[in-house]
Amino acid sequence: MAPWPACSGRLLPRLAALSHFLFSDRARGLDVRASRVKTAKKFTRLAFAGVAGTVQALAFHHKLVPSISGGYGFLAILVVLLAGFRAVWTAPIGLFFAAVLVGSTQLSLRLDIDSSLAGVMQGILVLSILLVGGWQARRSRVAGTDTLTVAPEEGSG
Amino acid sequence: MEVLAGIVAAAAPLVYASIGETITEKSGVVNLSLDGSILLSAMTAFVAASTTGSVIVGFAAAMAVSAAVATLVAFSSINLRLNQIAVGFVLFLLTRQLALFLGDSYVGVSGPKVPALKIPLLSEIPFVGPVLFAHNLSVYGSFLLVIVAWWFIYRTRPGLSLQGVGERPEAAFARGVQVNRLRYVYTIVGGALVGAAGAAVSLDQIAGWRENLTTNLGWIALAFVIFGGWNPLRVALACYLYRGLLFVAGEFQVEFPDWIQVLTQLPFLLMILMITLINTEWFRSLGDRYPRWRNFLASAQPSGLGQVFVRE
Repeated sequence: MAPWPACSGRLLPRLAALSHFLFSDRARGLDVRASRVKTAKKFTRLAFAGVAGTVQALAFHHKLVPSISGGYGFLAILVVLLAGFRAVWTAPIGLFFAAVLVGSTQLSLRLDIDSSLAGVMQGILVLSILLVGGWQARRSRVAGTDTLTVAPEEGSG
Repeated sequence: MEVLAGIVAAAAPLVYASIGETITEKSGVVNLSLDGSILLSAMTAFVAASTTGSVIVGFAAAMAVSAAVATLVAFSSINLRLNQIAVGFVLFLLTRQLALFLGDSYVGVSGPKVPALKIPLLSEIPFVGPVLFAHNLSVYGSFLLVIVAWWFIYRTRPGLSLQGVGERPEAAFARGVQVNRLRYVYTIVGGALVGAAGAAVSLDQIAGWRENLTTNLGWIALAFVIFGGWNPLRVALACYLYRGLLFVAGEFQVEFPDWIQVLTQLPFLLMILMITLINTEWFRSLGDRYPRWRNFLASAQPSGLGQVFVRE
């Protein structure tokens, strides 16, 4: 039972913050069918998160440890943002992030540099890509050739 | 009495963060970088105060850093029309990692603390005095913030404009309100208050710096903004109730040590249940049944929340 509080201590506050988005579709004016479909999609995503957790526990660590998720949930969102919501790009970007992650542990071991530098680099990279994309879209708008600038609403759920 | 005083003091950082986010979201912008901003500002406050020896400089530096992060959120959502959730989330991760990286050499170092300041006469009032008026400026600031925020939003003309840009930006614009300019201003103000939350932790509540000093404070604040129906009074009430629940859970831990792991998570589970409850039709109808309490009972998010305003 020991790892549960470690995981749930991180999970529950986030779940509390996000539960509003999970249960408020009806309030946003969606009909019953659309609301059900959307809820089903959300639970499917959570089911895939369960698969990721299973792989971590059974195929990587081979035991339950505190904070077993390793922040992969957040990292996955970065991958999706960087892939621009295109599934085919998630695999190579995921691989790149995995390389950075492994490299970060070597960073602290060999060069005595804090491993959180890898996280800073990842954050700057994704933020830069988002901002540059937004800036280019803004220039297109100004030039009169409007392009898609806002990520699909689905991304906010 | 000491328990109540402790709850009030412990809730101060949460109040700063929740009210800051309430103001931001009231204007129609979601700043999801909250949790990382608090950690980065906590580190900044500690480093600045340790270096200069002044907690005022610490608070100012923390507020400036968090306001800068909020400016980036405002710029990307207003000017670049990017998804606010996406940018806020990336900034959360970036600021969090930045705090850990930059603050590494300050872990475990002792630093200054906000000095205690009893308010003369008021602190002598039986019961109320020790509970409310025997703290320090950081805690008094949180009381003042709740009252000022509520008064500003619901009792002043600029507050009405703030509600307007969050609820009906097109209508507010038609009335001559500079929607995007106000959104910038309130996002930055809200961000600065979030910075004050970080400073309140590293210079008062914990008085020090270490990794994960403010774990989940931002996420909890985000949940309380929703729970509080974007009303500063209800948001603050949620903060105090949460700290009270944490205390009760702590007391039960002594009585039932075998249940310690479940009890520590109980406040979060109750929070999820409460947020689910306030999204039910029954709770929503309460405002119609009791019109005098409509503002207090309202739980619908600002209609324009997360939406870009484009002048036609």
